[in-house]
Amino acid sequence: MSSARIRSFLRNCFRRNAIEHDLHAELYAHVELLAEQKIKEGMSEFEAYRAAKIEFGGMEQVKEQVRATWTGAWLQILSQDVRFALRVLRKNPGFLCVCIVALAVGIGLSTAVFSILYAVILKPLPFPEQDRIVVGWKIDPSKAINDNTRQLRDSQLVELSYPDYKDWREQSTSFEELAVMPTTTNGNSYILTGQGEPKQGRKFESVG
Amino acid sequence: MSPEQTELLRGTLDLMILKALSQNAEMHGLGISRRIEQITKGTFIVKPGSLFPALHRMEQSGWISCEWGESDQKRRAKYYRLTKAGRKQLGIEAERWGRISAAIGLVLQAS
Repeated sequence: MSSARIRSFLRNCFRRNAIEHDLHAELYAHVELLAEQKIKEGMSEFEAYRAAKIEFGGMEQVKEQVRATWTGAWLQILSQDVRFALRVLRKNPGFLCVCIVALAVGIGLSTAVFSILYAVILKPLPFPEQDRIVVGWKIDPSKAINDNTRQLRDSQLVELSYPDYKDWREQSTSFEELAVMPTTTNGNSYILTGQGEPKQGRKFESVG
Repeated sequence: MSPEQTELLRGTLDLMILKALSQNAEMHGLGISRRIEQITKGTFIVKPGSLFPALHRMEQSGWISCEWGESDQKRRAKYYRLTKAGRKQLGIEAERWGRISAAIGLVLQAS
């Protein structure tokens, strides 16, 4: 943007009345000059002004075309549109209410849905190096795979019993650390021995 | 009207206004319009609806400047004069127009 353009932009924004007045004066002077020429050519004053105005064309249309060239015209048009919109809304309070309610419900619902989605699915678990965490299961041999896909099904997976966990813990070498967690998919299958509360083994201290 | 056509017409109008102003120290809108009409022997009649938007656009671009003055008959009018940037622009536009008209000339001469 050249400095001339910036100057005219500021002038168009802040000295609106002055330049409007200037434009009107300029165009009006043009009509008068036209009329003057026609008087010189021998027309009566009345006829000359009439002919000059006809030749000039629509004053407002010309003004509108000139305004469109002013730097920052879009700002003016935008503010006119906003004012028009506010006027129309004020005249139709019912419509305004429907709009506000529709917007509120729309925004509220999507925020709520996203919050749930984020908490349940998107939010990462609070552990570091998650690519190194695995979940171990046992397969129930009585529910053997009976199709050819060889894909495990949820129903074939069984949680470890506590003694199993202890064996894994003592004998496996593939994992840095083992821990148990209660799940809800297949119910809890603790082995209860002796008295007192069921043992849950080590919980997730290993990765916390 | 296709965009190319508008572009050509607008460019042409700017060029004619700049040229008219380069030959006279200062002119008002009607003077410019009459001058163009006279030079082109009436081929181009610039109506206020195209003249004033062009003048204001060129003034904002800094090619012409304007101030209020008095006509011979003591009438107030807004006078336009060419700026330094405008004189440069006239050179650019004239050169561009020369290229276009030469190219079109070549097209028409081709057999």
